[in-house]
Amino acid sequence: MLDYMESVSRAFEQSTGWSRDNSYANITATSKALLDFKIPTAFEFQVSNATTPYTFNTTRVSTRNIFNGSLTYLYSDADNLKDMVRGSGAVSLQQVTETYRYFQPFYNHKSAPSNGDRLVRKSLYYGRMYYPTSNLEAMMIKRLTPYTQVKLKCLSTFNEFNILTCHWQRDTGRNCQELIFSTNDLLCGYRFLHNFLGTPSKMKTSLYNNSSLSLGTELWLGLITLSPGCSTTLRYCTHAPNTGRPLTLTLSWNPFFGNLSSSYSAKTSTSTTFCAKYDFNLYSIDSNLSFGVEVWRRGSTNQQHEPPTSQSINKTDNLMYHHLLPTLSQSSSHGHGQTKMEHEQQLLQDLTTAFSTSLKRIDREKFEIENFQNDYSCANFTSVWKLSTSLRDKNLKVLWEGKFKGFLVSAGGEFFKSSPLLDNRSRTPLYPARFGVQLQYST
Amino acid sequence: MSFRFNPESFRDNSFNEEIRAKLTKALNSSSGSSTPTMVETASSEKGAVQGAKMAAVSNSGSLGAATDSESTMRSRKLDILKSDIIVSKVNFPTMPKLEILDLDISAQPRSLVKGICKISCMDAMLQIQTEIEGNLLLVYSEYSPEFTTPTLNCKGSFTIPITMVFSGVQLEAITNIFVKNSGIGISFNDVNLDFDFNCSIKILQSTIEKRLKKSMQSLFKDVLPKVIFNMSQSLFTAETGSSRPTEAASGDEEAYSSSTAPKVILEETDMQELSAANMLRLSTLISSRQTLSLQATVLNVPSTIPGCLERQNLHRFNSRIPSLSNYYAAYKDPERHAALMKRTSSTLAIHPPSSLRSENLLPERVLQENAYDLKTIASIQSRIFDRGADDNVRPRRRKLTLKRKKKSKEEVPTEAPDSGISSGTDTFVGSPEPTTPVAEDANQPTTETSSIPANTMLSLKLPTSIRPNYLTRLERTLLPLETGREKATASINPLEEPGFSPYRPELHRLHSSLYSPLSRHGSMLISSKELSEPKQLLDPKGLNLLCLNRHARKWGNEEEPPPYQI
Repeated sequence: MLDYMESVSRAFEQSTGWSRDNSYANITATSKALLDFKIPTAFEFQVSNATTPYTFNTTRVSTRNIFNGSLTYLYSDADNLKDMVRGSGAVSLQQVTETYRYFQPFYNHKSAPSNGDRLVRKSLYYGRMYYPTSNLEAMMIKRLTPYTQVKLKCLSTFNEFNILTCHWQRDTGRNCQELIFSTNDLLCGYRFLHNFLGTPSKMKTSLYNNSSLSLGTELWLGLITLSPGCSTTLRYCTHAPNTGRPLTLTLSWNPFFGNLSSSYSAKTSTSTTFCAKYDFNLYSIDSNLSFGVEVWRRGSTNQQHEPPTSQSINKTDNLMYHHLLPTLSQSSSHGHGQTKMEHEQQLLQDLTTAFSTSLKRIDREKFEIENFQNDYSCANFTSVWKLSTSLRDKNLKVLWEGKFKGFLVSAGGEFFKSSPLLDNRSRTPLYPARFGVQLQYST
Repeated sequence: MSFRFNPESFRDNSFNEEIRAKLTKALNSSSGSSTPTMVETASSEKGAVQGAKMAAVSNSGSLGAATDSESTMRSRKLDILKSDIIVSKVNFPTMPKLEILDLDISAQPRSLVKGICKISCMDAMLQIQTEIEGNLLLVYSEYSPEFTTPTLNCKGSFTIPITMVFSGVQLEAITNIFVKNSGIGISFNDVNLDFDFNCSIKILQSTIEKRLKKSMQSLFKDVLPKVIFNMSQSLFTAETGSSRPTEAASGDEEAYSSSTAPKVILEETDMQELSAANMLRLSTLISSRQTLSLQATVLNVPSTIPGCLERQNLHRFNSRIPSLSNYYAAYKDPERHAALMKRTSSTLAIHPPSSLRSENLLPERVLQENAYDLKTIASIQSRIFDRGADDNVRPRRRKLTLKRKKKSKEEVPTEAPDSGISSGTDTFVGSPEPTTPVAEDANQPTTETSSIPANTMLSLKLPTSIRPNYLTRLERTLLPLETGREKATASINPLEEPGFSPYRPELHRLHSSLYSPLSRHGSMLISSKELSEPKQLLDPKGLNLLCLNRHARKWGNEEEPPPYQI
């Protein structure tokens, strides 16, 4: 479950037209959301609201061993942020849950910032104070140009432990570069992401390109400990041609430590998602297989979205290709009976029928995809179960997230096959390692 | 009190197995929160030393309890350990040697036994295996705050097995050992440690070796004494609780355990000899004998009685008391004296008091060399009479009229006084020089312990604030007594006797030697409250070793103790 402030900052990115997915940091966001989702570890309660259209605040209280909490304030001068951030009663569950990421090819998302410099130079300020430890978190995001953005994150504690992390990001749609510097261990990093196959075709109707191929890499070096890091990842997103359901494949390779990891994530229906990930280490011949499943439950109120049928596609197909047909139909109806005309007409008809099948096919695919997306985004989900397991770790993670009387509830736990401490007590097959409940209320 | 050194425990392989099991357990209990190199090496060396230690006092316990303290000591650091630490091989091929250089079992009420030992351990070998995380960035991202840590995609874990071999471990250390009611304190003075280090990852070998050498200092200064003290403390305190029910069965157990398997370290039955209750009884016994310890707070103990002299200092007191043999002490026969002392050291347990009493005899050489002075002898004799005799007993004086002029002169016969004639030929008893053959080996504990009471030289540690008050009070209270009954006072407190001029400097010296720790080591005195805290045991203020034989006497009375490296 996303925190309120996290959804506000995502709304800020959305408002300023910044693509979150077009970054190497989030290149494996889908498999992370399905396999490595976060489980609350305490009883936590959050109350948030938007005091003005530009300021938001949150009070959080949590109890584990001790009672602690935090106060958060956020200010942003982005436009219509108030409309994008909705309260916990009105927000749709798929917006506040880390789930499958729909990645759009880049030519779609750059339309928003292209309409002028008005959206540029928006900024966001965020501060959070913890008690009783009195740690202080601060964040500033500033859009500099339509393509660049600076993000500063700072952590200040009393025990001589202050960290400042700077991100400089440049996203041109086709390429995304990012420079990172952190004072903790003097970590320096560089990320790069490039999109292939992203160019819109010359004729939009000739081929509906719904897939994207991205290649990214990252380089890290901790200057104090001299610990290097590097990885490269290939991502391919597409949709199943006949059902319009999206799927994502990633392949990561860490040359320093020989880790090879491939993941396959698919939305098998609007309410289920499946992910499998296979890790293999070339040097130590160590392998791991992980599975993750999401099951969404719809609310009963919103059933007006009927599943699309082939009938409707045929209908719309006829409607959409109407512009190609009229001349033919009119000419045929006039029917002067000339052989030359008939020959031309025959030729044209052959031509159109030859093209129309492919055109029809493309259009049907596009419709399927859009229909699926609409269906998913408009669905009124009430809860989601998330399960993930890993063969090497022998664990099972369970998370339930849902809306309950205006609250956003997130509850989950992690179970291990046998406890590391009590090996002899093997009567219980699963041993709970941690669990927690999180309640959010926002207006 | 006795202790046993059991060499059998090192003969077979069970000692190595024991060490291995305990080390594995200890390392894994502390592996959760510390860096591998530091802990491993620290503990491994500890193991080696511990092996020697076990031999030394034959008093040891679980290493597991010991290393618990270490884990709490260390701050939370990056944990790059991916698995447990396995001690795969331990080998102590030769028996650890122990040389007791010095031992003192009766010096202080606060510590039961003090000793200086030389511990040496040769050719020990230790092999440790574990797995470490190779991807340091993964460790970094796990231990950094989430908010400011950028998202890392290169999070693949890569574990590397690592094996470290310490071979040819040679350890030589001189340790000061204090056995107290609450535990055992040890300080390492002169540590000489040498080993060959071999790491399976050659890149890390030099780095680990450097860090090892850095940590050695703190290991022997802080870690090891603390560990041993905590370990012994747990044993001592656990013993008091469990000694009662097992007391009945202890006899059978002892017979059983001694007859069957060779004991590696102290078993339950052994620990009963070292039980805290017994220790307490012994310490009270010792402290009750130390009657010159001016504990002003405790009433009705002999030490609070003014002028009461401690039993252990009696021979010194006797040596200063006016008598013919003392006055002519320079004429004593050295070789006969040495022979005598040798004899006393072996047979002392049978009749220690008689051999210590100084008879009022003139040494033979005085007569031979004609070095006596009659006037002096006469004054000595009359002083002895004045001091010791009752009023109604008339002095038996032999009157010889050599010449008419010297009729009134009292003369002591050159052979012997009346009291001494019957009592024997031994004219050399009561010398103030206690020389003891130092027991160089631990295999002769009986001779050493039996020789100790003969040579005890007590030096008192008194609270410095008390001393002047006490002395002035003592003199004040004694003054009216002296005016009233001079003789009684003199017999009670010969040190305060003003009129005995020839022995005045002697008395001063006695005074100073008895009270010298006061002025010299006043800063070392600690209050009993501090003593009760366990860490104070290792505090340099608490270390004062006053021992019996000549090494220790040098320390206790004339010199500062050697600097303890704490």
